[in-house]
Amino acid sequence: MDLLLFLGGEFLKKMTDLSVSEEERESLRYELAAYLEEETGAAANIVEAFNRLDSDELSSFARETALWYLDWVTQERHDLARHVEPGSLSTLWSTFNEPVVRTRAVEALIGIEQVRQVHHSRSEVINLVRLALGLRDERVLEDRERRPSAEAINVTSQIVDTLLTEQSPFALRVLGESLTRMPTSYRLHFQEEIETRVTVLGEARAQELLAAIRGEDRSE
Amino acid sequence: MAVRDRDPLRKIEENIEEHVTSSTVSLHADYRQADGRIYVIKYLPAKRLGSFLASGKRLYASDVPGFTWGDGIYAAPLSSPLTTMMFGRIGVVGRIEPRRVYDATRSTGRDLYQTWIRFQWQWYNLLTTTIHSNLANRYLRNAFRTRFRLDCVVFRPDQFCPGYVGPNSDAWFAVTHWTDGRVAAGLSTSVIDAEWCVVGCEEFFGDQKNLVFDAVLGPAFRGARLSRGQLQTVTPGLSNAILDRYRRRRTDPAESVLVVTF
Repeated sequence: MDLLLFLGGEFLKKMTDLSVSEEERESLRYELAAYLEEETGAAANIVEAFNRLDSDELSSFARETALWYLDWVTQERHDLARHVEPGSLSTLWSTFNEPVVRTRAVEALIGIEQVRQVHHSRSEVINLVRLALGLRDERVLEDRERRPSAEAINVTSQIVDTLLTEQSPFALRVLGESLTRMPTSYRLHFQEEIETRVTVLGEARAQELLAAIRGEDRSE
Repeated sequence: MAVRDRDPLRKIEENIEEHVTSSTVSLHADYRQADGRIYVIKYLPAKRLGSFLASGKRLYASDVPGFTWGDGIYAAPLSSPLTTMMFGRIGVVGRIEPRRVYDATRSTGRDLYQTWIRFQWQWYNLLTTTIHSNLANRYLRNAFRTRFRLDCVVFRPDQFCPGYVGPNSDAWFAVTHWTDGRVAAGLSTSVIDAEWCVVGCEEFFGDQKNLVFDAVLGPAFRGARLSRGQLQTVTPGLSNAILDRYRRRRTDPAESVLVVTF
C-alpha cells in the first residue's frame, strides 16, 4: 500500500466510522477539506494512491470509507475525476459486494468515464456486467448459454437498474452495449426486464429510452 | 410490448416545478429582513471554529449520512435564533440567495418527493428493501435536489429540544453547495459573507442518537426569570441583537461577539 494511504488510512477510517460521533466526523472532514485546499497536489496524490490499491488493500477499508472516496472524487472534488483510473473503480466494485457501494461505484464510473471521454463501447461497466454474469472470458460464454443463475441475474439487475436510473445518454448506450455482448439467454431476460421497467414511464418516454439503449438517435 | 399512454413521471416533474415556483416566492416573502436580505444562523461546535476561520470563513456542507435532506449546510433563518442552538456554541451568521426553493414543510412537497423517488429504481429498491435506508435516503435526496436544481430545502425540525425547537412552527434550511451542477459536500460559499458573531451560554445534552436534546445549564441559571415555556419570547429581540452584531462585526472585525444568555 502507498505510504500516504498507509499513514493516512486511519484518518480516513475515523472520518467515516459510524461509531464516531457525527459531530467529530464532520469536524474531520472540515479539517481535511481546508488542508487539501492549502496543499497543492495533495488531493491528487490521494487519488493516485487509491488508483494503485489492489483488492486486498481496498478490503482493509470499511464500506463507509469506500463510499466517501466515491463521493469525494465525483462530487466534492469533481475536479479530481480525470485523475481516477476507471479500472480502480472496477476493483472497488469487485472488492465490495454490498449493493450500496456497487451502485455508487457504477454511478461514479459512468461519471468519470464521461469526464475522461471514454467511448461507451470501452466502458468498464461492460466488464462489470460480464463479471456479474460470471463471464470472465469468451470461452466460458458458451457454457453459460444454457440458463442464467439467480445470483448472476440479481447482481446484474442492480447494474442495469443503476444505468436505467441514471438515464444519461452515455449510461443508456453503455447499457445497450452490455446487452449486445451478453449471451442470448441473458440478453432476452434483461431486455424483458428493461421493457417492463420503462413501461411505467408511459409510451413516449419508454420508446425514447429504449431507442437510446439501442443507440438510435431519435432526434435525427 | 404493452405500454401505457400517459407519462406519469413527466406530470410529477411538472407539479414539482410548480411547487418550486411557489416555494421560492414563499421563502422570499417569509424570511426577507427589512434590508431585503435573507439571513441564516448556523451553530458550530466550538472546536470547529478554527476550521471555519482557517478556511476563509466558509462553512462546510456536510455529507454525513443521516442528515435530513442530504448533503448541505444546515442552518436556520435568523428570525428563529434558538431553534438550532443545541448544535453548538458558536453562532455563524450569513446570507443566502436561493433562486430555487423546495418547501418540504407542506404536505404537497413531501408527497411529490415521495412519488418522484419511486422512479429512481435502484436507490428506491435499496431504500425500501434493505437495511441501508439511511444511505439510500441520502443519495435519493441529493439526486432530487440535483435534478430540480434546488438551492434550499425548507423543512420542519426533526431533532428536538424543549423550549428551543418548535417542531410544528420552526423551519430549518438545507442550503445546497454546488459543484459542477451537483449537490455536494465541501467548503462552501453558499452562505454568503459568513461571520462568527454569537457565543451561546448554554450546555445541551443529547440522547444517544442526538434526536432529542435538553438544556442543562438554563433551568438553574434562569431560575424564575424565564421558564422554558417563555423562552421563545426573547426571539424577536435576540434576532435583532444578533443582526446588529453581525453588521458591526462585518464592518469592524475588532467588534466583540454577542454572548447570548437568558
